[in-house]
This record gives sequence, structure tokens and C-alpha cells, in this order.
Amino acid sequence: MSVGGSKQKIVVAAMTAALVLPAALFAAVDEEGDAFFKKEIAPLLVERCFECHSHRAGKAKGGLVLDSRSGWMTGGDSGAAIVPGDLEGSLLIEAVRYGNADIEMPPDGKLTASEIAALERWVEEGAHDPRRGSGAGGAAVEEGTEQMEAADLWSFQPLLEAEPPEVEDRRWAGDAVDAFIWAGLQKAGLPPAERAPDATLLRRLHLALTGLPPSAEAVAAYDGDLETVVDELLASADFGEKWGRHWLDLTAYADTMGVGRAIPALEAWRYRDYVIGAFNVDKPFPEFIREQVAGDIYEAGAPGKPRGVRPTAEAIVATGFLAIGPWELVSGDKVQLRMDVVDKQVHRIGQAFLGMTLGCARCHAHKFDPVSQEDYFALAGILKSTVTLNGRIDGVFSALNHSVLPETPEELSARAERVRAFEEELAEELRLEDEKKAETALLAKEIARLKGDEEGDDTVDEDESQEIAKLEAKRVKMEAGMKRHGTRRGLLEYVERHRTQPLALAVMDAPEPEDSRINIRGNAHQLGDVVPRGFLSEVAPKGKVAWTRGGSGRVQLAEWLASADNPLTARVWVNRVWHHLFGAGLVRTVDNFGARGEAPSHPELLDYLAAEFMRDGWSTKKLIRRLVMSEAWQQDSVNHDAMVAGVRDIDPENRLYWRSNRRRLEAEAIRDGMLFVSGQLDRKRGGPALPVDEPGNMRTNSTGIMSDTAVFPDDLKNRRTIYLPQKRKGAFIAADFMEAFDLPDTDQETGKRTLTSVPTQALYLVNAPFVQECGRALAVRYEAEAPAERLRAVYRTLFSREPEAGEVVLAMEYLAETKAGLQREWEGTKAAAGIEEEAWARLCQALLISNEFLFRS
Amino acid sequence: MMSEIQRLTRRGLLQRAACGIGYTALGALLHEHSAKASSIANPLAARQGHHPARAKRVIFMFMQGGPSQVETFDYKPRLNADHGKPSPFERDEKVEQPGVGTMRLFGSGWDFAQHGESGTWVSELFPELAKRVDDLCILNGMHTDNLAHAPASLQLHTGATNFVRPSMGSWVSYGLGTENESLPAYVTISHPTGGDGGSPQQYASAFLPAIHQGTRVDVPKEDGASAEIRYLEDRGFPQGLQRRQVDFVRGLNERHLARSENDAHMEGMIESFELAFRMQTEAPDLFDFSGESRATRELYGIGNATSDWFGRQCLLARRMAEKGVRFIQVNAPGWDHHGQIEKRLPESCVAVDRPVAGLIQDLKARGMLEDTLIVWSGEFGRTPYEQDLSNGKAKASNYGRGHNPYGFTTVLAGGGVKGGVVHGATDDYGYRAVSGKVHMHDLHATILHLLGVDHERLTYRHAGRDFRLTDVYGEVVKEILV
Repeated sequence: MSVGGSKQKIVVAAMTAALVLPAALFAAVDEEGDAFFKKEIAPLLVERCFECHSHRAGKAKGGLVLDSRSGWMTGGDSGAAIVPGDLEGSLLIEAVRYGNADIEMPPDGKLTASEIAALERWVEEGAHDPRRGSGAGGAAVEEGTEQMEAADLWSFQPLLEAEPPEVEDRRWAGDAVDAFIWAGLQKAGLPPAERAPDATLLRRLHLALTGLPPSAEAVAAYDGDLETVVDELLASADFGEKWGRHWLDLTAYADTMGVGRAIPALEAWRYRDYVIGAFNVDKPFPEFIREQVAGDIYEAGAPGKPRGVRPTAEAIVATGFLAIGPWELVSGDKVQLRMDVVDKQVHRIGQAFLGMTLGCARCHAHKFDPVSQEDYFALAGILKSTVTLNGRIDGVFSALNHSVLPETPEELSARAERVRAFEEELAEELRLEDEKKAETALLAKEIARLKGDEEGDDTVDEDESQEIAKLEAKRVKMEAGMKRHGTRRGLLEYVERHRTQPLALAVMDAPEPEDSRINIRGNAHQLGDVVPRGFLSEVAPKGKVAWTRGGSGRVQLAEWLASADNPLTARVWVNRVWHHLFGAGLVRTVDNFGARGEAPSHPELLDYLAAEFMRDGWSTKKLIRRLVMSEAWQQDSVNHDAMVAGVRDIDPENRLYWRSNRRRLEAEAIRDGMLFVSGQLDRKRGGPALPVDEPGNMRTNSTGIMSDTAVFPDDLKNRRTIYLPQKRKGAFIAADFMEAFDLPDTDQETGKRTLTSVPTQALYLVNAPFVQECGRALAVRYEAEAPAERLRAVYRTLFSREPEAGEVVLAMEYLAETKAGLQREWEGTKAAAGIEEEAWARLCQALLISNEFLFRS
Repeated sequence: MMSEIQRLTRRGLLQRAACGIGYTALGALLHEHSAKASSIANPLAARQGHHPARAKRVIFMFMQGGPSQVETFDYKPRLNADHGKPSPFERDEKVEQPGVGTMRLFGSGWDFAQHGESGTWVSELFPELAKRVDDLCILNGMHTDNLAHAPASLQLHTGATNFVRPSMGSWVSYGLGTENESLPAYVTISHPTGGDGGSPQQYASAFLPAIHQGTRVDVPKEDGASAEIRYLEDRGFPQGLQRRQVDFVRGLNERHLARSENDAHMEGMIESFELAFRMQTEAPDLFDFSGESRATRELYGIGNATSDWFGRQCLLARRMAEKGVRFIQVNAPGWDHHGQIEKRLPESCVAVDRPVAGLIQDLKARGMLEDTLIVWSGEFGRTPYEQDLSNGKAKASNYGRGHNPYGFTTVLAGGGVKGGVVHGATDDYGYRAVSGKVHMHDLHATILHLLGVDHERLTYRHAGRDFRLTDVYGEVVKEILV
């Protein structure tokens, strides 16, 4: 590094700044200077000076702190400690040289010659100090020294170009994926598992691609052509319902907003349907990114580009990725609320696309990863220039931004019809409410008149008192009707805008983009330096950004994320797909590719797959197809040979994939599967989720509040789980299945669900009416068959296999004992007629809640 | 990792259990070697803290909505004297509060008197608690970060106002486990739902393993109805036959396991069925109050229309404490007195006064108060100035008070804290904590300390860093420790 070099950079930066504002300034960051400071200077300051001159130690001897740039600039009682570029004028240098007996620092012993030389070089070259904010605020510099350098973090490096290894085994020689896995096993001296039996494989395949088990018919019809089955499953609309859910896990999707109260998010479903559709049409990943991050932005045509990109309804809906979340709409501190929303958006983008935990850098430089507080606020500025919450309700609650969607002429005329019907209903409800109100008043008057008459009379007039009772009953009924119509009218008024306009929960650009200032320790009222908008400075592509005039910068952000040069995006997504198929990622910390995440088990394979994924047009379906056709994926979940070879000591966690990972099914697959095998699954796809029309489900006060005990109407309750309304902070009671089986907290983005086995699940499986009903429906499904065949049919449906002889015996024994037991209990009661049915229902329920159904091997 | 031999032993145990050895024996054996069995170790096994514990368990009383401190435990004669005058406080421009106008001072309408040997001031709204004042440790210098219900309640429960973090009960369960393996370590009784008050987030385990989440038990409001855990029982099916069904399922699972290689998750599932069945057997006894004397019921205010519900919560809490549940939460919603404080505050006080005092007395009589920590707290307090949401249309008796996170009262008792003590104070009007200040994080640090846990060392690795209940804050309030 040379002084001249640094200066030149600054001059260039200044010239560019005049042309393109403000990114050029950001591009002028002195990487070399940063590195020198972090490596040589910061540790020295921490070790030898902080004890007496830092906020951390709570000491500022002589008024001087050295834990921030402003610390030495302001200096202590004797004035500035350092004058950049001026060795002789810098008190700090004078002190460490031990030349002046009045100020010898550190007092407990002179620094080494090389330490002094480093300090001298630093000051001479301009005392470049990347630390911003005050040490007290927590730009906590000393922590920066623990941070991993970008150059040392594997995930920040460009993709390796690795050739697949040579394979001697014919079975494993087909695809490069197998070559890498085989080579890893070979090196460890482990034999791979056999190919899984057909039935196991079919069940695994159906569950992995569609989230539903295969029907007995599909198993029977299988002719050994797996490739065709894979293609059929990938082409089925069930695919998006399974894989869309994986994506929704990364977005904190729910159908309510607000943290305290469950405020209905009536348009959230559009984003859910967008995601499902995107997987079904195999939308190229860069487009998927662009739509979700910046789909709402009209991109004017650049020179040479005749037309720009106009936002379609679909693309606007896609920005639900940013718009939907656990926003605390009630918060009184709106400035802080705004930055909290921005924070969650930065966090979500970082985690979903980059596998980075950016939230850490809100309060201080990231402790472990090469992400600075400036990086964080560079991104935060982009989101701060984006409108997510818009306006108020009742002056207190923040309102969500709703964008009006463009319509086709057909949609427009269909809507005109809906609007007309809506207005008619509203008018009718109003009329009925008024009518009942008037009649109630009339009756009240009449009753009062009769009563008044009575008071005048001394004699009891029986006719009159009967008349009063009759009128009273009529009035009560009338009043109830008035209330009913009033409630309905209240609801219609609440949903009016949502029913008569094509709205989406979407973001949009703020009128004027603004850079963000650092929020000291995350406090939006304690502000530090302004940070120009930008991206992570250590992640490629690092070049200058051409900001669109007036735009927030989300278009550029999407381009940066989806760039083939970005080392994280493709790796992170390929790894997520691997995780869902194999049960554990090549990087098992799927959401953390930083220093605290795990390193990949097969780095060359990960990079090879990422590169191939991009070459294949970023097609997720092609990637999945390739992986499920691999020998590695088709292995059995049992591998006796590996056990003999000592795999328990060599690779107990199966990182080398010597067998298939057995997994408990996810919440959706359990519930959907139970409905499917019992013949109850409602295959209706898409559309609004929240059952607001059921009386009592929603309070229509200012914001509206969904009731925890909201009732699901019949046309909703047996649909696939992804279509059930999701509430924040726990599920609706009608959907409590989700909570019991680890559906992730809707306020937390997560790429990897925890799978627990807790007693409440067992209680649910045994006692919940839902599971019992599924058992009953399953029993009814084959009731025409003789007992032995009935049992076989149930086994084929649940487990894709025939029962063994021993299993038939056990089941028949259980059936007989249950019948006998019920006979004793229910003899002579009306229930006795249903004993046979009940016993079969319990048997089917038991099979449904057994591990063979709940797990995928 | 567990060695193969240990695995086989566990398998053997499970098979023996399947052959009819009672699960009680199995439970005991599992417990013995649980420390070694890392992959499927019983996460609820009782564990030692970092230092000797003063309290073995916590009964946390959530006064949802934010009780007014100046009408209960924080006596402010100056406020009463200056009633109606404009308040001297600067308005916090950052936050929006409707209906507070010029923030006119609003005196307490109830009298205070000194009680007990300690001579502690308590308002006439708490006659029963006043009698127990020498057992109470009153923290009058509480303060917290947010003035809206949801974030402030979240902070009371999890330490964070905004992020998804485990509840303190979950942290305690994670840190110390349970003393009774037939019951969960963390139970919350009639947790408020919906509105601005309660949310499952408050008792969620967030990133901690799910078994540490609070188990919800509902004490219905109707008189005489007993408490319940959802799906605990199937009343339409004879219990003997249900045992037979669970055994049949276990038979299926054992066969399936035998065909597979060892699998911790599948074994875990088998165990959870057993645990569930034991809960199913034990919990109903817990909910059956028929063995409690009439005097005991009266002690808890059961039978009185206003205090019945919370009284039954408190009695159930005592029964759970006896059975070894580690962290028990009871809940009294409705303290959010923005309006009609004159009418509604006394109701809220009556609802809890006798139950809380009764619980303290009962625990004391049973020798359990010294190792049971009681925590009584709202998410914040209330303003000493009036709030009129009608903007001048309503009469003064309809006035109430706004939210006040800057100064309020939390009350502790038992479990290693001093009795008859008032710690901390607010300014002359009861607005801001000025001395002996205790932040929510400090309260959490202190609760953990009393349980024998160092709040800086109880951590969990998640998303690349170690998390704690107290984030990077929290000081133990040493002055109040016995």
C-alpha cells in the first residue's frame, strides 16, 4: 500500500461522484486500508491501549478513548491524539516512542519496535480508520478483530471449477453428482447402500416432490420407469404446493399481521399463490428474485433497449416477499417501527438469498462475518426508500400498503360483476338492518303503551299481559335480526375495499430515495453517520452500481443478488434444494453460510451443482430431477455393510451419504397425507384463505381482529395445509395441527425446520378428533371388503406394501379385543350398533399414527 | 454420540417396556443414564444450576394490561395534592398517545396506610395483600423499554420487545429441567389470547427445542369447571381400550424399528407416546380439587364471583408446585385501565387480592414459600396523568390512565428475596423510576439468579451466535436477596 495509491483512489472517486451520485462514494472504500487497520492496528489498540482508553473498560484516562475514530480525532485533555499524515504532530506517536518522559504510553511497558513501526506507518499514511460511530454506541471495534476476513470465508470466494472425479463403479458412474459422492465414500472406506426397494423409492419420491404419499393404484401401476414418474410428479400442480411451502418458510408468511392482535392480511394469499405458481412454472431463479425484490418497479428502457419492464400484476404481488411480515402495527414509536420493518426485510433478504445473518450488523460490525455496520445500513437505505407501511388507522395503528393491481379486460368485467353483487348485498343488509331497527322501535313503543295502560289499571288484564309477552318475544327476535344484519353490514363495510378492488400487499418506492444513517445500537433515535445505499462490500459483484434516478435501488439489488458472479445466491439455493431432498444440506446450516455456519461436506460438489444450475437456466426442476435420479438419492435407508465397516466411528452423522436419511414427515405432509389416504383431501387450489365471512370469526373494529377460535367452513377445512389460513403467534385453533407438528413460527424465517417429538404430539395423534375422523374415513373407504382384504387395502394405501402375516395376526387380535372391550362397555346402549365400525376406525387410526406412516425412509 | 452398546441397551429397555414392564421403572432408568445419551437425552431431566439455588420453582403472575402503581403500591401524596394541575413532565415526542391532552395530573382516589411490622404503604385496594406485606418485596423502581402492550408484554416474557425469543419459562425449563417427568417443566394457566393482551409467543420456546415451550392449561371461567390440557383425554373411548391402542401402536413401531437401523427420532416418538400416556393419567388428578378443604378454597377467594377464576388458577399453581413443575404462570388480564379507572380498577384488584395473599399464606404454611419465588407484574405501569379517550366529551369518572414504561411496580415474594422490603422509588408523582431502578432485564437476571442460574452463562447457540434471556444486559438486584 502506498500513500500515493490511496490518494489516487480518492481523486478518482471524487471525479466519479460528480457524475454518478451517490454510489461512487461508496465504491471508494479503501479496502487495503481497512485490511491493514484490522490486521495490524486494531489488535494493538485493543491489547495495549483499551484497558485505559475505551468504553469497554469504562475508562478514558486523560479524557482519551481509542475505540473509535472520533475518539482519537477529538483526543483527550491534551488535544487530538493523532494528526493524520503528521508523525511529529501526533501525540500518540510521541507517547509510544517513549521520547517524552511526561507521556510514555503504555505506562506498563514500551511497545515493540515493530508495533511502533506499524503505528507510525498507519499515521503517516493518513491513519485510515474504518470504525464509524462512537465506541459507546457499539460500533464496537474491538469485536471487529475477531471477525473473519472476507478472503478467509469460503462462501465469499468464486465458485470452484472442479472436474467430477473418476469412478470405477459402473452403478455410480452415471452422473457427476454420484461421482462426487462415491469418491467421498471411497476415500472414507465406506460402501454405499443398496438401491432402495421400488415401493420405498416410490413413496419417497412422491412425498419429496408433492408432499403426498403415492396412491395404492400408482404403486400397482409402476412399471420400473422411474424417470417418467419423476417427470409426471414434477409436472403435477401438487409440486408447487410442496415446494412453494419450502419457500414460504423463508418469508415469515402468514394471513394476519401485527404482533399483538391478529390483524387480517386479506390479500396475503395472492403472494402464497404466486410462490406456488412460480415453482409450478419453474420460474428461472433470477426472475423469481427480481419479482420478489423489485417486481413493482417500472424499469424504463435504457439506451439501446427499446422498451422497459412494466410491472405485471404477478410481479407486484411477488413483492409480498417484502411486504408481508410480523410488523408491530400498534407501536407508538413510528420512527423505530419503520427501522424495525427495514431490519426484518434486510434480515430476510440476507437469509433467504445469501445465507447470511445480516441482522447482527444492525447494532455493531458483524462479530464473525465480514459484514460491517455500513454494509447493513447500505442495504437498510434501500429498504428505507421503500414503502411497506402506508398511512394510519384510527391515528394509532400503522396501515399496510396495498397496491392496486393492473387488470386484463376480462378481469375488469368479472370484477364489475363482483362489485355489483357486493353493492347489492351491502344495500340489502343495510335495508334489512334498518327495517328490523324500525320494527324493534315500534314494538318497544307498543309494549310501553300497553305497560303504561296497565299502570293506570288496578285490575290485572290477562289479555294485555299475554299480548305484552307475545310482543316482547317478537321484539327479542327482531333485535337479534337487527344485530345479525348489523354485524354482516359491519363486515361488508370492513372488506369493501378488498372485495371491490384488485389489491395486493406489496411494496413500492418512496417518492424520494434516502440513504440511511447508522442507528447506534439499533436505536432509530440515536443516529450516526450517513451510509450511502449499496450492497455487501465484500461480496461480488463489487463494481460500481448504476442507480436509477429516483429509485430505491431495489432493481439494482435484485440484479446484484441474481448475478452469476455473486458467490452466494446459487450456492445457497442449490444447498436448500439438496437439504429438502436429502434431509441435510451439503452445508447443514442452510441459513448460515458465514463463519459460524458449517463448511460444506462436499465443497466441489456444491460448487459444481451451483455452476450447473446456472448453466441450466437456473431451473429448479432440472436440478431436482437430476438429484432424485442420482444413485446417491436412491440409496436405501439401511446399510449393513457400512455398519460392518465401522461407519459409527467414521461418519456417524451421515455427512458422506452412505445411506438415505430417514425423516419424520413435516406437519403438512402428515396432515395432507392423512386426508389423502382417507379419501377426504379437497383438491381445490389457491384463492383467499381467511374465513372472514363466517359470523364471529372477525371483529370489525378499527384494524379488525381475527379470532383464535375462527371456524373454518366446509369448503376450507379439508384443503391442503398450505391453503389453510395461517395466524401469527400460534395457529388458529382449527389448524392447531400445524403447531403440534413443528410448523415454523410464522414470525421467523427458517430454511430448516426443527422436528421434535414431544408428548403433546402423541396426545394429538391419539385424542384429536381430526385424526380420529381420518381413521374413521379410512375404515369406511374399504368397508365393502372382507376383513383380510380390507386390512390389506389399508396397508397398501398407507405404506405402499402388503402386510406381513404376523402383522395381520396382530391387527386382527387388536380388532377382536377392541370389539370385545366395547361390547362390555357399550352393551345395551345405542352406541352398541356402531361397535364394528368403531373398532375398525381405531385400528385405522393406530396404523395412521404409527411411525411407518409418519416417517419417510 | 452414544455408543452402540448404549443404544442396544436402550432398545432392550424399550422392548422390555413393550413386554409389559411398567413405564415408571423405564422412566427411572432412562433418567439415570440420560446424561450420557446425548442424541436423545431426556431434555427435561432435572439439572443443577451454576450456583446453589434459593428458589426451586417460580410462580409468575402476569397482570396483563399494566396495573396502576400509584393506586396500589407506590404511595404519592404529592400527586394527590397536585391533582388537576398540568404535569411537569416533558412529553415524549417519539411516541404517540391519544387522549392525554395537556397531561393533567390525576391523583389516586384511594387511601394508603402503613401495614405490618415493616410499616409498608399499601393502598386500600389490597386489604388482604396488606396483611401479608411483611412477606412482600416491592420493587417500585421498575422500568421497561416499550409503551405498547404487545412489545412490552413480549419483553416481560422473553426479554425482547420485537424479536422472536424464547420465553423465560422456556429458558428455565431448558436450564433446569423438571422434577416430575410426567408433567411439563413450564405450564401457563389460562394464558390470555387475542386482542392486545396475550399471545402464544409469550410462552413459546422460539429457537429452543420445542419441548421447552409452555404447555397451556385452561382453567375455564365457569364456576366448577375443572382445568384442561387440549387433547389430554378422549372421554368417548374407555381408557383401558385406549391403553390397548397405544400398546398396539407401540407394537407396530417396535416391529418397524427392528426392520430399520437405529433411529433416534423414531425412538423419540415411541417415548413421547409413553410420556403422553403418563400425562394423561396424572394430569387429571392435578385438576381435581375435590380433596381441597372448604377453608383452603376460601383462602384463595374461590367462590367469590370476582376472585373465583384467578383463585382457581392460584390453587392449581400450588398443586403443580407441589408436583414439581418448575415454572408456573398464572394470568390475570384486564389491567388496561384507559378509562373508567374509578369503577374498573377495584374489580381488577379484588380479582387477585385474596388469591395472591391466600397462595402466599398457603405456601408458607406448607413450608414451600422459602423455595418458591412469586413474581407479580404487569408489562408496565400507568401514567400519573389522566387519559380521556373521549377527548373532552366524557365526565371525569370515565377518565383513566395511559401506559407508563418509565416507572412502575413489580412485587416479589418467597424464594430467597427479603420480605417487608420496598426497593427503588419513582419521582414525586410516580412517573419515572429515579432510584433503585430495576429494568426488565435486571428482573430476569434476578429470577435466574435465585434459581441458581447465572444469566450470562445460560446460553443457546442459534443463527450463528449465543443467545441469552437477558441479551447483553441485566444486573442481579443484590439488595433484595436474603
